[in-house]
Amino acid sequence: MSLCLPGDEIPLNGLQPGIGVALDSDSGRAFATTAGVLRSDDEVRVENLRKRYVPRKGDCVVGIVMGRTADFYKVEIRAPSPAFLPTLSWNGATKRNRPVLEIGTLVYARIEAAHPDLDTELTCIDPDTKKSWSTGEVLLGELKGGLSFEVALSAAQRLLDVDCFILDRLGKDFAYELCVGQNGRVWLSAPTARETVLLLQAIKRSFGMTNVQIEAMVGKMVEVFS
Amino acid sequence: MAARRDGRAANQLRPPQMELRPLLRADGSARFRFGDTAVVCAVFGPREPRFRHRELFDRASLEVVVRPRIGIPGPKERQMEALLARQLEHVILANQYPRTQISVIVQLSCCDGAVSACAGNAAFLALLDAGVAMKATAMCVALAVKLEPEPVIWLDPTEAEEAQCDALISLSVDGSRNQLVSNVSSGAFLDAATWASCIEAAGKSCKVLEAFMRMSLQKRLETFLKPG
Repeated sequence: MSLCLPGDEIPLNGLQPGIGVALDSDSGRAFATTAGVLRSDDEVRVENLRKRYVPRKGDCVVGIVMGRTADFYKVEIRAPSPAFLPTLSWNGATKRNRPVLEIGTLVYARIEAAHPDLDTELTCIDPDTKKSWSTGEVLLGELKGGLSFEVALSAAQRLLDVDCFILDRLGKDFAYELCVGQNGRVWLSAPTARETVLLLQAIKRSFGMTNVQIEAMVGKMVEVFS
Repeated sequence: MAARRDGRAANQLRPPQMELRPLLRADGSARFRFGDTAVVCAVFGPREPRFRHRELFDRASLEVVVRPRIGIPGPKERQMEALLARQLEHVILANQYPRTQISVIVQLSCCDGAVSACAGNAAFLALLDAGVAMKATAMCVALAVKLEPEPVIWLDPTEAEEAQCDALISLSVDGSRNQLVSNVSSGAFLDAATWASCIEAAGKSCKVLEAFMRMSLQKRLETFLKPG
């Protein structure tokens, strides 16, 4: 595990600089801008425990509707400024037939445009499906019921992994629906309120635990719950 | 050379202590301690500026608030706020966050000399915890210089030592590149030789502080960000 601090020089090895890495405009060398662990997958980035989200194009986020005008919903996505979701950017939405979101609604949306100088734009159009939003079968859109909570950005990244241990383990004993946004907001829905709160606590606390510890914690939970 | 009351060598720091994210609601926070001097710092942002006139179109505006241990903030705190803001502006990559504001709230919780250096370190660590982009790792140390009978430099002075000395200096140094980031000095005039040895002593101790920080960060990140 290699730790880097702001100002440390980073070898790029031909990859693109990602989050936490910046290029020095004079020398053209890359350096770290935050303290964290260096990771290089498809880009070189520095992973740390920050909470504030910086919007990136293509990310899927869970947001809260904060306000609405005729053309836009104003959505809070834990970023420095609110994002805008056009009221017509849903699969098959028309002026007559479009979803109406109340203030406080949770939405799962993709970031369409993210430029630091301009407003962030969201969309609920899912290009993978031709279904209309009104069928309720489109992945992106309003999240009904359940509750939302916030975790660190790197914790959300771990929950999004295909082989996330805690989610698989909880799935053996509980039925639940979960939606993780890359902005660190998680929506969770289970049949009863008691289960929902229990699962929420388990997921929140699992960050930083080893698989053995998670196994012990969930085992105990099941025992208490049943 | 006059001995120090607490038995330290002239170039010895009091034991530093750091704690990251003691406050859960802030975006980043840190507690930093040099012996009996302790400072808590919280960072909020980058967020939307609360007042429109604070907004800068090409970079983030930095707001520093210093709160004294007791009472209401006065001119002394205002001065510290301005100095801290200047120091942090050199380190933060503000142009990555246009039209936003970064608030740094510094709460002095225990004052026994070297307060501004301690506050500088706490603020830097809190920014680090918040993940604000910065271009260098700059730690701060304070020095006290006594000119009579011959020049003596005391690193990291206590309040009693500060009162005895002729000049007080607070330096912030980028340890890995050995570059001076900021300096605040008050009191008597120093000659070039004394000044140079002050900077050298500060550079060395900032390196030590950086190594200390690296170690404790490593420990913290290892628990949360295990490989995988």
